[in-house]
Amino acid sequence: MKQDFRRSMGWLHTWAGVVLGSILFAIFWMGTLSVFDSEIDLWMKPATRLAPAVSTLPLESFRSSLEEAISAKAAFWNVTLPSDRDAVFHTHYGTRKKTIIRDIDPVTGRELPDAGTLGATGFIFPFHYTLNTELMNLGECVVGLASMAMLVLCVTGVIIHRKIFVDFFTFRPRANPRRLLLDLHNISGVFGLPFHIVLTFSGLVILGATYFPAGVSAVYPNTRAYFFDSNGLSFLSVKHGNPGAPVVSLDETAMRARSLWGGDEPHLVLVANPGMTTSRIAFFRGNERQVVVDRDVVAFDGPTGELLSRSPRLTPIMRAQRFLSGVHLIEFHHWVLRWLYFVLGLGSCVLIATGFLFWLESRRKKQGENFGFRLVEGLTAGSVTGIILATLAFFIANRLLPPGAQVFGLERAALEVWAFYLVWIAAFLHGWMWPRRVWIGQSAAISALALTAVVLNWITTGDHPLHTLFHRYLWPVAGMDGVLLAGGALALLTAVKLSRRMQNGAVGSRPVASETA
Amino acid sequence: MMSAFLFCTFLGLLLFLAFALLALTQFPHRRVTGTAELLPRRVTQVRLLAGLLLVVTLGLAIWNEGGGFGFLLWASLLSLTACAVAFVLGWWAGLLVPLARVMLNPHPLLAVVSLLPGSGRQPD
Repeated sequence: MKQDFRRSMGWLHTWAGVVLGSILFAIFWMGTLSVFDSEIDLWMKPATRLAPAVSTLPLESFRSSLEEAISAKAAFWNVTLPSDRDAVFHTHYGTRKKTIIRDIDPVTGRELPDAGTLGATGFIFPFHYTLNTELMNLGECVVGLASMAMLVLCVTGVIIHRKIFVDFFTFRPRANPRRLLLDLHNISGVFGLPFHIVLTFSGLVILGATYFPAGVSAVYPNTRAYFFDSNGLSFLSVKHGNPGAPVVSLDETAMRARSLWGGDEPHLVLVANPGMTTSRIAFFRGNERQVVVDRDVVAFDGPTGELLSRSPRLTPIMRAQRFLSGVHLIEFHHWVLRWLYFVLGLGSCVLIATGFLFWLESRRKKQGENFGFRLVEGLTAGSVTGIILATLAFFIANRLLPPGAQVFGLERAALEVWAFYLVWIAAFLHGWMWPRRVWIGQSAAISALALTAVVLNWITTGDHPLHTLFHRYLWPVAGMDGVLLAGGALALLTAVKLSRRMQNGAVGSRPVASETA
Repeated sequence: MMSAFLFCTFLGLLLFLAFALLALTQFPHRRVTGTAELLPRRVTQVRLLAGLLLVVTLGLAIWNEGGGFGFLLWASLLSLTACAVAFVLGWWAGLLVPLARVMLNPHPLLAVVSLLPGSGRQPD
């Protein structure tokens, strides 16, 4: 009975992993990169690589931008203030037809040139939870399904690991490839278990209303009302009003918000319905110094400056929810913890990749010629090294495309995304068509592309790794270049070792008909 | 930022020590380090010490970083240092030989002192 149960769990672990592993790898890879989304943005938008201002500009400096939003009949206007991760201001307003985002120099207040990129915050981070598929929330639903499968994989993985305590620290780098892969899978799985479970569960909690809407619809008339209430934005549920109303001084209202927070600074200033009689000015307190995302919002009436509301204190259940959200979203500024998240995220990627590879190595001799095996082999290459290559292509396209580039009506930002998808598709095809040398080829390609990205960054901006290392405000760029170089070196080492092993006949001994013919 | 980095390094070293002690109570890892197996009583003692170190590091993390950050930092370092111990045992097991030998000594503290440079030298 016990053995049957373990076997059943083994079956579930294997097939949930094989079927959803590709999606899980994409989610974890993009999530890992999102840990440094602002830093990647800085790399992809060279004009924003500015030293932090000694004193921040007054909010009234953005009055002209607000007036522009009013004349465009924008539904909202906001400005994001600089922080130690992002030195520039960002203004943002949206009309029914379009959204305008501008980066503003924190010292001069002048508008910075448009980088023509979505960057990490516009592409990599949303990809992490939507897979860039927004049709009917399909992407979010698939991510939710994969996340629940991840939790199942974690639990079944513990159940089928027969000697979890005996083999706790066991790692045999000189053992045969299959043994080595299983050791790596076990190590990354067992030691990273708290990280895998907490991050997966908190991700499900954040999007809980999407996956389990019954609770929300039982209490609120619509999801909009739930969103406003749960985020302390009830002041926004007002009628449109009449145009022609002024917006009071942003600096004066900001000063009152600061005094309510005991001197804490706002992170974002929002003007809803700008220029209308029902306009609202809201200040969102920064969450840099705490894990909990409490979204303390102070709202004023736009035309009169009268204090309207302040977010109520969180109830214990909401505080627990916001703590889990904070653990996942990492809005806090703690550099050591951020790096630890990054490394642990890479550990999750190693877990998924080694799971795939172990599946392949276990079946290579007996099922190497089967269609199913070939399918998973190509799928693995495309999902693991393929998405890494695609991400590097995204970075390289960012450095290669000239400003204002357009091809077939596609703007520069869309072209970068196309570069990502084309390389990703090519990696899958490569995996299916030339499986024998796919890992060597794609590892070597990763190495070459990573080095190319660093060199292109140097050529196009003048910011070479030594220059960025000696200027504090350029450390995020140095970090990005450093990770690219380290990743490239590791990929090269992998390619060389695999190539040697193949020459010695230890790997890829299976002759592939299509290649040997 | 530098103080946070130094504190995390210190915390990481303590956690590494705790996991190394735990690992070196297991026979396969003692064999890799070329040291004799421990008596059951000593195994229990070492495991208790390692457990105490884990708890102390959690306390230190919360004391220095606050509840939220402290716990996250401790949990993250827990995973990484345990992984580091496994890698060290796999690639450079020789690094843990002195610790494995100290664990054999009936008076571990004295054994640690004897390992310090110059401790065994006679005065001229």
